[in-house]
Amino acid sequence: MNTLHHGDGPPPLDDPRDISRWTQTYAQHRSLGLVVFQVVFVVLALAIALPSYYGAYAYRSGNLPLFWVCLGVVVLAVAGDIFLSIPAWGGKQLERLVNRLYAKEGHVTLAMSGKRAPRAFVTLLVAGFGGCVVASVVLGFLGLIPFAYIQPVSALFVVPFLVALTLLMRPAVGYLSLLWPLLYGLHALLLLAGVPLRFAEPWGFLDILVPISGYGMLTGLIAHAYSRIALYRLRRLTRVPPQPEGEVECHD
Amino acid sequence: MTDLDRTIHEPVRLRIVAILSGVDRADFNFVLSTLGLSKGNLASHVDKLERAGYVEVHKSFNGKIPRTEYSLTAPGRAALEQYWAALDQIRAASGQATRRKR
Repeated sequence: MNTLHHGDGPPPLDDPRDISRWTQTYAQHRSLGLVVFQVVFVVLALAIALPSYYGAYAYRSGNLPLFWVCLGVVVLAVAGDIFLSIPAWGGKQLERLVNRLYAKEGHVTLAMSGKRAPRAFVTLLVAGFGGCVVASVVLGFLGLIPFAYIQPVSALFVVPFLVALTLLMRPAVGYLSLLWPLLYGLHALLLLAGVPLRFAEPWGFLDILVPISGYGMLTGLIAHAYSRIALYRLRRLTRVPPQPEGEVECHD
Repeated sequence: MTDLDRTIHEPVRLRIVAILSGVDRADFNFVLSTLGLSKGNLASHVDKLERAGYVEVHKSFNGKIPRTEYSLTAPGRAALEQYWAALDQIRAASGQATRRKR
């Protein structure tokens, strides 16, 4: 029995709860902000790494004009990093950009679970992750972790951190976010298995940048594509044919 | 048989509350673009839901641009849950009646 159809009104709904599910799915996978953040991060990382490499080469070979140009680019890139990392400045600009990207379809808000993890746990998680990053960088510089194994070693703390982050942010994000740590871990396993996934100099820094930002960007793009599917399904369920001003009453 | 809440049962308002039940808040533009309604029509339906205490309207400014967001109230979520339960009852009864006819 169809209790939800009236004359020239909206089309019948098999299960109106599908509207709620697709709305939530759409909200969970609005990931353009993540994609934009990753693109900016990669551009800034490239703007630091490449001029650093060529600047050092220019200095050693006595090409001072090139050295100063490279140094200038590095300084600008570092300033950009600082600008973006301050929520009141860069965070606000990114938020404005994301608002503009989604302006046509409007905005939805989906908060994290009401059952918040204890503050101490979150602090420990972030501090632990930061400590592991610093330790691995220091150990790498000291040669105690061969550069070829930096990424697999980092997977030991990056993967659990990203998984924990996704679970803490639920239901504001979907389980698709777990694709990022999954790909990062898979990349580490493939490296350990001897698959040649390394970049030659001067692109050696991509050994870390690709797994971190590349897979993050890929996850964001896949989530964005899923949000388009969710929005399409939602609109198919909810589109109302043109109606006269005022409401259409449902009569028994 | 349980009566369906007529405020929610109206097809357009059902869609509005179903959308809002999936998120914490949705702004006017999102509901408008998803439903494809006219602004006046949407405002009229939301007004009815607001007067019934099911929807809360939040008005703010994004810089100088006014922004209107909607959220389901606790009574609104409870009313929607009761509506789903009533709908399930009707479907179950309808299924039993169909089986008896056979």
